[in-house]
Amino acid sequence: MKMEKFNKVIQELKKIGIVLVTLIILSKLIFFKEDFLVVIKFWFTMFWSFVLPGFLIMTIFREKFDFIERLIIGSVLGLAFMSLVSYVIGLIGIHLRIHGIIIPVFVVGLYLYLEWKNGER
Amino acid sequence: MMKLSGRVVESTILLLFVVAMLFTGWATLMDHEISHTYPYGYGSSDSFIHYNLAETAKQFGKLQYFAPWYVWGHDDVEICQSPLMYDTSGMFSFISGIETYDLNMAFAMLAPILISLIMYLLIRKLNKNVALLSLPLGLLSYTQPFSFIFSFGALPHALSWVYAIGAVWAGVNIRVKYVWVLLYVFMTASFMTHSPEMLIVSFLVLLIMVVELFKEKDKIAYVKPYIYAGVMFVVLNSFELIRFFGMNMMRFESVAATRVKHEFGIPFPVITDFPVYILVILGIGVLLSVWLLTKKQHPAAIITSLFFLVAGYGNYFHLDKRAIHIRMLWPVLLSIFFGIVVYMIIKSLSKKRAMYQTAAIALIVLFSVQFAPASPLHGFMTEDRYEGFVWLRENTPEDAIVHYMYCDECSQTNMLGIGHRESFVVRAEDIISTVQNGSIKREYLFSPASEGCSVGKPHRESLLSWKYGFYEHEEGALKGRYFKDICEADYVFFEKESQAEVLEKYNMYIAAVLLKNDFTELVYQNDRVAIIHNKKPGEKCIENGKIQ
Repeated sequence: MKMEKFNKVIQELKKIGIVLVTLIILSKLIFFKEDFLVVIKFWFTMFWSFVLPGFLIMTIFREKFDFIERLIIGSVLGLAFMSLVSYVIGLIGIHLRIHGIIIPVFVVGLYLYLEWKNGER
Repeated sequence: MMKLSGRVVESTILLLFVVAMLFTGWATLMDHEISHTYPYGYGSSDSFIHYNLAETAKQFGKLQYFAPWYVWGHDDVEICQSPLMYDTSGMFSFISGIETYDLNMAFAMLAPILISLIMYLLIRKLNKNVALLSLPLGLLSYTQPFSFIFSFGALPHALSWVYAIGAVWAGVNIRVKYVWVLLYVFMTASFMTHSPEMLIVSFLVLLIMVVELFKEKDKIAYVKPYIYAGVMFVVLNSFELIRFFGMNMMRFESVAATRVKHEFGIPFPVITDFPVYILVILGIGVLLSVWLLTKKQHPAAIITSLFFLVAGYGNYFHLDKRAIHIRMLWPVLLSIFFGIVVYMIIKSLSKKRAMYQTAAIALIVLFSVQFAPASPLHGFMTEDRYEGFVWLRENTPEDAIVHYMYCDECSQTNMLGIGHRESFVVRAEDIISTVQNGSIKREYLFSPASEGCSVGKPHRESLLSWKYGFYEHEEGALKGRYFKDICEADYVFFEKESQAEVLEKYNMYIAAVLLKNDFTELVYQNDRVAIIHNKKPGEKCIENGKIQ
């Protein structure tokens, strides 16, 4: 049962991946004067830094809200959460330069750990 | 023929809407580029302070104090702006390599999209088809005068509204276990991005709570999550709340209502800025919504939009400029009034679900074409001017003092902070009267190149108190202007172009006089900018007298 839930999240992450790729391709058409690499960097950073952490946090509510609602609110939540955590850890001395890497890694790691613990039970 | 599931159709329409908003908004306004070689579309001093603070966050790894170059070398002047957007922008810049001046704009341009999507979720509780049909109105967000939110520098305001509307969503879903934590997160993020939005939306969240409270049997159980969120907000944000109230960042201004229709020649949005046919639809939608309030189970979306319709007139009851920022987002905040009427029209013609979806798609495409901005944003930064500032940043000592002679937009003094040097800019009125006198002199009336609270320079005395302004020799500057000797500067920055030809020639005349000294040197120039280095600050470099 727990593995089934985890697999559902993996399926949803694949959908997010499809959204990311679609946005990158369409953005390149829209921002036609822009270098493709910049378009990729922008959306990848957006998804890595905000959408992914926020969506993983929203898996807590997967029984209550559908995928679309969790993706939209998760994106905004990810932006808010990352910004707040970044501000606080900056004040305690961790340089802003690495926040965009360590915070998502921490959130993903924590999520995987909690899923594993739930699976063990 | 394969029938697509409702979910797939819904997702497709939402994606189409996002792409349409990106195309109509961000892409068109920013000339179809994400990154630019200079701050693009920046049309006000406020835009530049956001850029400077984001760069400060990058430089120091955090944002707590103003950079010393912004505040006369002091390293203990606390920022009095809410810090979150700058921190976010700096973090994103490190990962993506995109400049913070582009990212600040990007976040603001994405704000109407995110607010539209959250409003969609709120309206969807009422009726999914109404929600889909409400989306297209958001495409007006990037038309004038609604788009002034971007060029006018209300960038953190826009992002703060995203979090504030997120808080409304959390309030509507407060019965779900642990959603109160999201309410706390969104309220905090809004407060720390730009505080007024959180304060305004608190009233809305309370209003929704009171309306829902009447329906609840167990009222205490319903109110408890709000209390948890409120207590958590006060406790965990106590340091920031002390800063906010201690530095007197909350001010209620009583001003004439007409002031917030026009300022500095810029017309702010009013309700009649919607096209006539949309205005009629909105009017009917408001009436229908008020009627629906008495009937429906999920009134939150209607209450939200009615709240923002009224709050948009808040200039008449002490909201002052905040009412303008709400009005700038009216296309997304009032969208339900549009969706309800279009829904009713289609329902009278056909009850097939596909009709609503087709209409939503058609309206999104139609509005993308009809309301696409005619041209990109035009700011007053140019590549040449920006290169001059960057040259200063990269080639002069950190404690160098720069004097800016007359330039057309130098009254937007935060722009001068790009140079990352302690800077002073000559007052236009003094230059003009000196030119009219036909004279040249050493001492001109200058303003420090920083605005807002940095002029007052709050530095903390204790946990609960701050001292403002300063050290004796800086006292005069608290009034924002005082006489300075241009021979004291390490660098003097000139612009070779101006709309006022006589001032342009006067600039070049002063530059030529300065260069007659053997201790001054032209160290940088391009088509627009010339920078002179004074190797002996304090030594007489200009003789007071008449222009030769």
